[in-house]
Formats: sequence, C-alpha cells, structure tokens
Amino acid sequence: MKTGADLIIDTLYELGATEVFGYPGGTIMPVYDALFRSLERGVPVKHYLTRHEQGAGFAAVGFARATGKTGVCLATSGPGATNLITALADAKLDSVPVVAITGQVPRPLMGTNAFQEVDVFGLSVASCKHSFQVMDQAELEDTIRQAFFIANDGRPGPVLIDIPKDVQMNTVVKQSPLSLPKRPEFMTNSSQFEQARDLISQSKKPMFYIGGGVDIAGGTDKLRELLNLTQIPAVTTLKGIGAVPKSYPHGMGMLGMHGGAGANLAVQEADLLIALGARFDDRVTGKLASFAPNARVLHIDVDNSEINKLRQVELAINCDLSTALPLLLNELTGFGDLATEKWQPWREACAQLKVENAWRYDFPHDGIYAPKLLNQLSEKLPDTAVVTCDVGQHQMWVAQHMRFESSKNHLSSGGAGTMGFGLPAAIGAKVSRPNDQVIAVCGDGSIMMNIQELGTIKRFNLGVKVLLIDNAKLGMVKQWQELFFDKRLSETDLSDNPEFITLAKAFDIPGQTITQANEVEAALDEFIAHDGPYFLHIKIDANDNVWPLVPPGAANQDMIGQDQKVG
Amino acid sequence: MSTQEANAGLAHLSLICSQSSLLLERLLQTMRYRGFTVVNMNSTELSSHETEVNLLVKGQAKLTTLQKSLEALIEVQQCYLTEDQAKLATLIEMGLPSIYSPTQLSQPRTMAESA
Repeated sequence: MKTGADLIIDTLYELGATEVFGYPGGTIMPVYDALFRSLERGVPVKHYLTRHEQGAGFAAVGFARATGKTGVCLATSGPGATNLITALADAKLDSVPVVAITGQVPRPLMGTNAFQEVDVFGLSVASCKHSFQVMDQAELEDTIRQAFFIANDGRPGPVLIDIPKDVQMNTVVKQSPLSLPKRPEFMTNSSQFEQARDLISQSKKPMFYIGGGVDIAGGTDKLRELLNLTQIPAVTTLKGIGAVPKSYPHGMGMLGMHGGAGANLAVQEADLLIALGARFDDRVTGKLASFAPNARVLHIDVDNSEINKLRQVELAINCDLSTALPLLLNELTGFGDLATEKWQPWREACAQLKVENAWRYDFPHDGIYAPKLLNQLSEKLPDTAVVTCDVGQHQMWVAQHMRFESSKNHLSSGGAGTMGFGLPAAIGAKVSRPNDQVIAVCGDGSIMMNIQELGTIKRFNLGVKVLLIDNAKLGMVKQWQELFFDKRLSETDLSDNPEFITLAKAFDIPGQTITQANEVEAALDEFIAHDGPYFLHIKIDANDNVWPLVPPGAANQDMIGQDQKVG
Repeated sequence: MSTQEANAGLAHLSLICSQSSLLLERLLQTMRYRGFTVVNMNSTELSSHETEVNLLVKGQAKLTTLQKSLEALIEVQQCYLTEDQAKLATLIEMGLPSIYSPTQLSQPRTMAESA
C-alpha cells in the first residue's frame, strides 16, 4: 500500500516532473519523506532545496520558461505557501505553466486557526489560473494530472494544489488515471484567414507586433517562415524578444515605454498591426487612444478575453498560434512579389527610422556604461545562452542592448515586474538546460530580494553566472523621481549596500568588482570562461538612466530622451 | 428616474458551471477584477456535477471582456449575457430566474418563451 505522498511522487514522475524545487516544513513532510524514498522506490524525483519558498517558485518559473515544460514547486502550509504566491502571480501574468503543491494542516484542524494554517486555497484565487484542494487521497492522482493539463492548456498558467497532511499520510490504492479531456479544436475557418490575407494585402504599411504568445505556442519557426515570406517589419514586446531572429533585416526591436525610438515611431506610422500573441499592455501602448493611430488591427490570440479588451480590432482570430500561423502562412503563399515590390517604400522608411535612432555607445565618461557592457556581453555569448533579469533599469538595458535567438533565452519578469526574479529563475533555467550558459543580470536593489539563493547555486554547484549592475540606487524609481517628482529622491538610495564580492565569497562563489570601462573586456572574458558559478560586480554611475522613455500617459511618439541615448 | 435609467450599466449573466468548492469565489473575484459589482445572484444545483449561477452585475467596464474571462474559467461551461435593457427589466421583474431551460442547456429559450 502506498501513502498519498508516495502517490504524489509517483504521479509527478509519470508526468515527467523529475526535477522539482521546494522547501520543506511541517505539513508537507510526508511528501518530503516520499521524495527521500523516491530513488529506492524506482521513481527518482530530484529535489532542489532553495533557501526561500519564493526562490523555489521562481526557479520553477525559470525552469518552465527556459524549456516550455511544466515547473513544479513545493512548500509547506502557512508562510511557506504565502511565500510562493508572488512567484505564482508572476507566472500567471507571464502565462507560465507551473504546478505548486502546498501542504495544509490536517483536515480535522482546518478552519480552526491551527498552527501554520492559512487559507492558501482562497489566496490562490487571484494569483493562479486554477486551484485544487484535495480532501480525499483517492483524488490525488487525478487532481495532479488535471493540474498539469490545466497549467498547459490554452493560455498557460500556474495551478495550485493544496493537500492536507493527513491526506498525504493516508494509504491509497492506485487507480486507473482519469482520462483527460482532449484539447478543444479551435473553431478557425478559412474565411477568417482569407480576411486576414485581404487585410494584409490591402495594407501599405504593415507591421508585425510580436508578443510572448508566439514562443509559448511553439510558433517561432512558423513566424520566421512568415517573416521570410513577407519581409514585413516587426516589433516585439518584452516577452516577444527572441522570436524575431537577430538576422532579420526588418526587425525593429522592442516597442513601448523603453522601446527603441525607431520601433515606436514606425508603429505610429503603420496602417496595419498584425498582433500575434500580444495583449496591448499599457507598457507597450503608452496612451492607448494614440497608439498606432493609423493602424487597423489583425489580432490572433489563444485567450479570447484579450481580444478587444483594450484595442478594438478589425479582425480577431481566437486561436492557438501553433494552429493559426501555418494557416496564415498558407494563405499568404504567393505574397513573394508583393513582398518585394509593394512594401519596399515602407521597409525603407522603417530602415531609415532604425538608422536615425540607432543605439549609441560612445558615452563620454571613464566609468562603465551598462548598455555598452551588455551589448559587449551579448556579442560574446553563444546563441544558446540564457539570460535572466531582475526588474528595473538593468532589465530594460538587457532588453534594449542584448540580442536573443529565442524567447526561451530571455527570461524577464514582464507582467508582474517582480524584483528578485533573476537569480532564482536562473537556477531553474540552469537545472533545465545544464549544458547552456545561464547568466543572471541583476540590479543591486533586486538581487538583495533573493540573495540567499546564492546558497542554492553553491549547494548544487550550478554554473550560474551573476552579473550585478550596481548603481547603489533603486535606479528606475530614482529616474522617475528625477523626472516626475521634482527630483525628490525618496527612499531610493542604497549606498549602504553590502560588500557584494565578500558576500559572494561567503557563499564560496568567486568573483570580482570592476569600476572602469577599460576593465570590462577582460572581466567579461573571465566571467564567461569561468567553469562554475561566478559573480561579476559592476559599479556604474548612478546618473546613467534608461532612454528613451515614454512618460506615463503620453503617446509613444512623445518619448523623451531619444536624443539622450548616450546617457 | 425611469426604469431604463435605473438599469443603466446593469447586465445579467447566466452561467452553467461544473461543481467546485471554489466556484463562487472565483466567479466573484473575476467580476470584481474586471470592474463589476454583483447586485444580485442566485445559485441552483442542477445535478451532482452542475450548478447554474445567475448574476445581475453593474459596472462601466467592458462586458465582453468579463464574459470572455468567465468563459475562460475551468468550471464555466456556458455563459449567457443579457444586456438589453428591456430584457433586463423583464428579468428583474421576474426576480432573476434562469432564462434558460436546465433541460436544454445548449438551446437558450427566447425571452418570450421564458416569460
């Protein structure tokens, strides 16, 4: 006879979740006991002990985002579970398939304010795609299978399974697993794609607007075929970065609040936006009423609630992009002549905008200019390298100045904008892709939110590289205070940061600090070549800000600082 | 104030859902998050697996986004929206009964039949 906890591990193993992240505690102990015995029972599930439940949650997110597989995290009840919530909310906003298993107090104690009892099931309502509370051990296996299905079905998202301790401990007979519903066929019809073709062919200034949904749907290859066929200019969202290949001559880069000026200006000129897996987020559109004012919109998205939510579209196709893109591609076959002739003036106009607004790296001070450093780093890395980010100025610099061949290689907390994301997400990415270079680009504010995960890196000797961009400030908040709060720098000074290299060495992770531009080249070479974890601490001038910037409430063409690209 | 004015911004939603202990919490959270308040609601168990939930909601946000968000929930099998003011007035007069026959869930009755 197995216990419920054994069945949990068996089911995870059968579902291919052989690497999980977590932190033990009172009400999840039976599961940890089953984990301990999983190897001898022939169902080996490797557990990565993080130093905080939030770290486990973000590691699961990083694992999932770097591979497309389902990330799994475990925590105990009460504070263990609440510590997971931020990571789950992050996963929901960025559509990441994660299954979180939390312990709960035994059923007889539920509802009594028992020790470490929190209604995590209730808490999860707003932060998860779906939640379960398993009150009968006979339902464990089916519930876990359903959770994996739901996490990946349609628009992916996190699913929480709350399991009382006594349910984990009770014996259970394995039953035939539930047959899960088939994924519904999307109700696409050829007339929709004919209309799409007509919209595109009527357009004189079409623009692809690529979101994270393309990669999530596994549509990157088909997108690239579409780009090659049509040669239509393309912009990406933060999460769409990597979907458009570096080599694509008409890639305009990221649009939006900190997008490139060329990308933003081109979108404002476009007469058709072909929005693929994107959701017209406020960080993308700026003042919504002024966003792409001349454009009709063709919107293809798996989530029907995203269509017409913010921008009224001319044609909506509610469909998984893995289904839609081949159909669209098929419909556009024969566009070759159109591609070479009709849109050439538009392509040239976009190219001109790119040239006029190209990034510059000739910053006139002796210090280290982070955009230039990140651009250098990008040039040195192989296309397979994964870069995770925290949130703030450095995150935007990564998006602007590093280039990626896959959205799975650029892991940035987009929707939630969660500081502290980068380090644990890099752990998950490295676990899932051990042969690829994984680099966490962190800010000095963000890294302190999950600095304890250096301990996890060391424990498992994960070759995660940390590149810390340190301006001794909460830089993005400071930048906004300078611009929009009359330079009242309220609570953004971090000049009392710890000595980061001493801290890294306390975790037995080697590293160095650099402060001058002439140190960058050698330091990056050593950073990349080092075998094992490494911590590169880069001190930059706190006056360096992120440009351009679309002020809150302004239209994208009214960005400021596009003439200050050098600082 | 006319009945039409009093009902401005109101809409009626009739949902057929699978049973779940979290169902009502999730429905109400979705209403609130999408910018609506619930003016009236009732829930009827149709079978051991199905529940019908009727809601009268008020708000200025996009009803279509609310409807699509509800349809995206795992438990929600069908979601019918009525925002026509005349139909709403009738529904409110009737005390918000279901406008759909539980025995013919896939074929909503017309308002005339319902009345």
